[in-house]
Amino acid sequence: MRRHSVPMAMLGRLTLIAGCCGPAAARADVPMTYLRTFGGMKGLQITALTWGLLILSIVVVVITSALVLVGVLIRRSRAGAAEREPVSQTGSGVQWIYIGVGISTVVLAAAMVWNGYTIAAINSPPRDPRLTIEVRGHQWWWEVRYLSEDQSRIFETANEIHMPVGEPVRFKVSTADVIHSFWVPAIGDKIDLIPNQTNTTWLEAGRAGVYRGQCAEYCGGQHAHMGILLVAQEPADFEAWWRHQLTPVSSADLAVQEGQQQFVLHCGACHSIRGTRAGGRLGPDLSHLMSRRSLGAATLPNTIGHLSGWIADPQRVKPGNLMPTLDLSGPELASIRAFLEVQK
Amino acid sequence: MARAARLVTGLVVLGGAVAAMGLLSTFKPSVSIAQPTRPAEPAADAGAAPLGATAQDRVNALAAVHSGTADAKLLRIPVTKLFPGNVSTAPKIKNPIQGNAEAVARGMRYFVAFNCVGCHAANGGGGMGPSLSNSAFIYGGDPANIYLTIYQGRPRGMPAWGAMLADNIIWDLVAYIGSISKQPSQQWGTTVSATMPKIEQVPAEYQSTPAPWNYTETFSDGQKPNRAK
Amino acid sequence: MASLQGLAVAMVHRKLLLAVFFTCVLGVAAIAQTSPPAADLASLQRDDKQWVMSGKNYSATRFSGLDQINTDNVKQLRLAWSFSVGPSRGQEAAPLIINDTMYVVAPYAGPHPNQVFALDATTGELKWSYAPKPNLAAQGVACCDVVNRGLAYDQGKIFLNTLDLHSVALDAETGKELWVTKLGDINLGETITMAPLVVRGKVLIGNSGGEMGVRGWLTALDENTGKIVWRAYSTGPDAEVLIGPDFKPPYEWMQGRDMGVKTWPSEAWRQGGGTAWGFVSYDPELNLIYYGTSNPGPWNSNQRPGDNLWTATIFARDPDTGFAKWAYQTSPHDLWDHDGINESILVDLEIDGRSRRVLIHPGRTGYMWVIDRATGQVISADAYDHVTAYTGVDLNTGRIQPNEALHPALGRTVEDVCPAPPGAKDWQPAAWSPRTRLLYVPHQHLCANFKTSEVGYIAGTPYVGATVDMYAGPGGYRGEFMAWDPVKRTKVWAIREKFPVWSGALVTAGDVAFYGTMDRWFKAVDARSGTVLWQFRAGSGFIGQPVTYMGADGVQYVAILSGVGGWPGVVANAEVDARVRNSALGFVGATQDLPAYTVGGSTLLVFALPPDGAQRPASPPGARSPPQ
Repeated sequence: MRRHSVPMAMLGRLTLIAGCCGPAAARADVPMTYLRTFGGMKGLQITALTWGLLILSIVVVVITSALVLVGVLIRRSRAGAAEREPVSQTGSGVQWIYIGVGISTVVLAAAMVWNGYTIAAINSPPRDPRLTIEVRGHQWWWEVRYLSEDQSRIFETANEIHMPVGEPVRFKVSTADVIHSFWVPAIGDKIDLIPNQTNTTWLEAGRAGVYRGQCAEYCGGQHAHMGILLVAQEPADFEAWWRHQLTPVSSADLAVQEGQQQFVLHCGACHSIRGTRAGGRLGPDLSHLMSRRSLGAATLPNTIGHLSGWIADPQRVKPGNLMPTLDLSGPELASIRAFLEVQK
Repeated sequence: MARAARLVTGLVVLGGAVAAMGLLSTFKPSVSIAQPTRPAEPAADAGAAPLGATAQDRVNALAAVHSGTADAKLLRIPVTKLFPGNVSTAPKIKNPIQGNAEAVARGMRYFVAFNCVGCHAANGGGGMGPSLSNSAFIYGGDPANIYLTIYQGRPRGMPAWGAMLADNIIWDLVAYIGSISKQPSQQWGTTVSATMPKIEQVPAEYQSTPAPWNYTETFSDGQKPNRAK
Repeated sequence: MASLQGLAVAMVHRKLLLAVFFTCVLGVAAIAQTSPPAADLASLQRDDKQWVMSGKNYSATRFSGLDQINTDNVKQLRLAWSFSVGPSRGQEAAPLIINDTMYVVAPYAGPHPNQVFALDATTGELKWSYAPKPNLAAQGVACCDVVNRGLAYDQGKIFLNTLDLHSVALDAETGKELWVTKLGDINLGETITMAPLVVRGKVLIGNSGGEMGVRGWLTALDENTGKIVWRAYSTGPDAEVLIGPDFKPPYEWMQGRDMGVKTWPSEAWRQGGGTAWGFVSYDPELNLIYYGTSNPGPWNSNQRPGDNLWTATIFARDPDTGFAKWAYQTSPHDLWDHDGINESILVDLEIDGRSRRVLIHPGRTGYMWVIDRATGQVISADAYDHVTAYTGVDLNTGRIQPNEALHPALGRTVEDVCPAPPGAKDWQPAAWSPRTRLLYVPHQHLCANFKTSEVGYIAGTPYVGATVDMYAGPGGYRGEFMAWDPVKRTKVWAIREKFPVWSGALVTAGDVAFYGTMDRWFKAVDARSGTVLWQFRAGSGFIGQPVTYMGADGVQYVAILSGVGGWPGVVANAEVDARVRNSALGFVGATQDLPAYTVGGSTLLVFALPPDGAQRPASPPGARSPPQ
């Protein structure tokens, strides 16, 4: 009886896992849903192909397994018959081979055509994208720049990407150092970031939500901590977010102003915040930092505690990353925190 | 029986594989919360600046309390080679990352990122600031001298970077400057004339290297660089 | 008896009346003496015996009506006296001569940076000197040598700007300090190098720092108190750029509200450049001042999509309020550091049968703009040197057309960009002769390699983002002094020079034009034919502005500072490595052999004809220059 409980346990786990791949599971903390995506036409095309090939494969496996089982069992039932079974080329045996090869060829050819059609279909967006976002990979963070016909609306941010729902968005990707790869599985496919080259792709989000992405090409020690949060919003919310990002934060609070001075001094050589004298470009832009959901490219949740811990010792969180452990005292850190807290 | 066992094993393996995929999809990255390496000073301590002070005053007040971790020996490095009594007790301080090729590469990146290249030009040729591409350093060419020049600034236009850049960044820059200043020199001084043969570096728009003196071409006398011909 | 008494009373009354009358007359005369400042300078600018502002006159023609030195006798010109100003850095200042006193300012170096000297203009005797309080760190934010382009004068006061942004008024007689105003902060990367101009009682001063992420401005100070009257920024909202309802841009692509914000990515205009470090001209009839703004920041144009108004722009402003009447952008979305700060020379030209009030602006871009100075409309814009960076100026839209093949995409090395970043002509001022109707233009002939890179902004440090390498243009020569006919729009004659001709030009009624070369020659040429009539080998190369005046002895003198430097010359006067071509923002690539010809200098040279026999009689006093 114990021998059969193992496969039963396996089956139980299988059903549990099948449950996890259902519709409710495409959340930011469950990014990898192979069998379902949430991105407009691109996602639908890819999902359809995935399901189609999966079903096809299952059918093939089932049929092949059935035939094997049949073959095994038939032989079993005639166990008492004479052992000498000469191998003979009867027409019926070869026919099976011809039928099998024939069906396989047709099916495989059809699958190939479907594959090719899908690749062609997702290559260019269904209509000309109104929005272009430039993504530049760094070790180990993402520089994101929103383009616009109206130059005064062009701005930069980092790591968290917002896009409107229901329309294709063009992504122009490049890298500042080594090869990276931009991938938000729930929305679309991977695109590599190659040095001295700008690649172009497009994505379309079908539903509002937060989608987790990842750098998909090994790029150094902290490759695993180079995540993406793609926030798809309704067009009105997206526009409001854009306008908010363009508006610098100002405060009359003396503690905040002191914090701004500390920030420019200790952080401004590498980081920028629009509206202040901090204009460094070595590290991510931190304008409206507290409006983001995560820190360190989806490494830490964005809370004040995590932020303080990051600033105090970034090497502990992401060893080898380019932000040095600064020589900050407690009050200096508190001051910078007070300033960053209001960068909503 | 053996065949059934093999069949079952296959199914188990298949099931295990599917289960593993399912598990992977629920995997969350582990989150570690870093602790500050220095204990926070109590808030009541000099961190609170008097009311009514400007933001700059408060910044200064905090910096005064904060002692910094710079090596105390560095304070004893002289900026000149003139010692009364002809007795020098200058400590010999080496660059902690001496000879580290990665440090030189990082230093090159910082040289651009912090706009050193704007005053000192690519490969340290000079312009607004003096050249770093030869062995003549106004305030001393030893690693410790260069470190202090960057940290403290200098009166005739070198900004004081010490409060803004961490120590390891400055040492990386020192390593890079050590690399770009390795000029080839046949004589102790420098002779200049319109007719004598000279060399120039391969210009930086064609080549980006932390050791530019390894790549030279004949002097172009103000014409297009020879490499382009 | 009564009649005698009555007579005596009447006489006393009459005397009283006469006394009252004369007092009134004197009072009126006194009041007339203190009439608006403009009248004073406006008449002084016409006195050829003096040189009261850098450009000689408000139209900036640098033309003198003196003809004692002429094409026949200039070959006898010799050094009358010299004076050392001290530090051997770039000497760009124009000496001023007022009331037989010469005023000159030294560069920002040595023990007394920006020291001002007052000398007897005839004998060279030192009358007084003034040294501002030094702030040595200012040298660290000066892009192109620690030069000072000269002083200004009005109403018995000399006006000085120091590199570290102090504006000082000195008593012209005694050198006593009258007021000091601090105009900016070197920790923002800004400095002042330009020669100010006084218009209607206001001292007009612009800052420098287009390579330092500075936000450019032109400021007017009250000449008596030193208080700021108005400040016009070059980027940002209309209220700060002083653009109001009277503003009429000549072309529709400059129309709209807050274009100084809209043509930049979010907040980028705050580090946008547009500094006003060139010369200012003034038209008293239209009551407009003309000046240009610098390149946009950073040099890496990929970081600032948009037209980047109001950088590389010629402004026409009301000097009393500062509000702009029109503006014309010579290089929208500038790619190559082609500033718009070059001088605007105000002349009246006969074009297509009618007299036009124009300004001539020899552009960094290599185009000679002739612009209607009342409206800002471009009348003509022709290439005066080898140009590959642009294909021309479209006269319908008024926009310069960039050559798309030479686009400086990030990280791409673009070669053969002509003219190079210093342009076909930089700040060095040209001169206009109303006699020959020709423009005398000192300029360079350079091309460059240009490679952009990302740059971060750190206040007080350079904000450039470009690796540049300059070299001689086609033909192998790097400088030229030419005569240009702005009506026929053609070069009449040219003298090629080994190095960029970085000195200013001077032309006189004797039909002699003067200029200096970086390899130590001060030359006098025939203004009509271009023949070199005389030359003098000085101690150091020339990047200064020649002037001429008449001394108390009735002798015509020509004065110029000798001392190489400036952007092209730091390789010779500072510790810059000639073997690294990209040094000094790439200029070393073009002047790397200069140290073999000259090093820095500091000498004021004053020339005159020899005293015995050979000179012509002095011009009658009060001679006026002919109408322009």
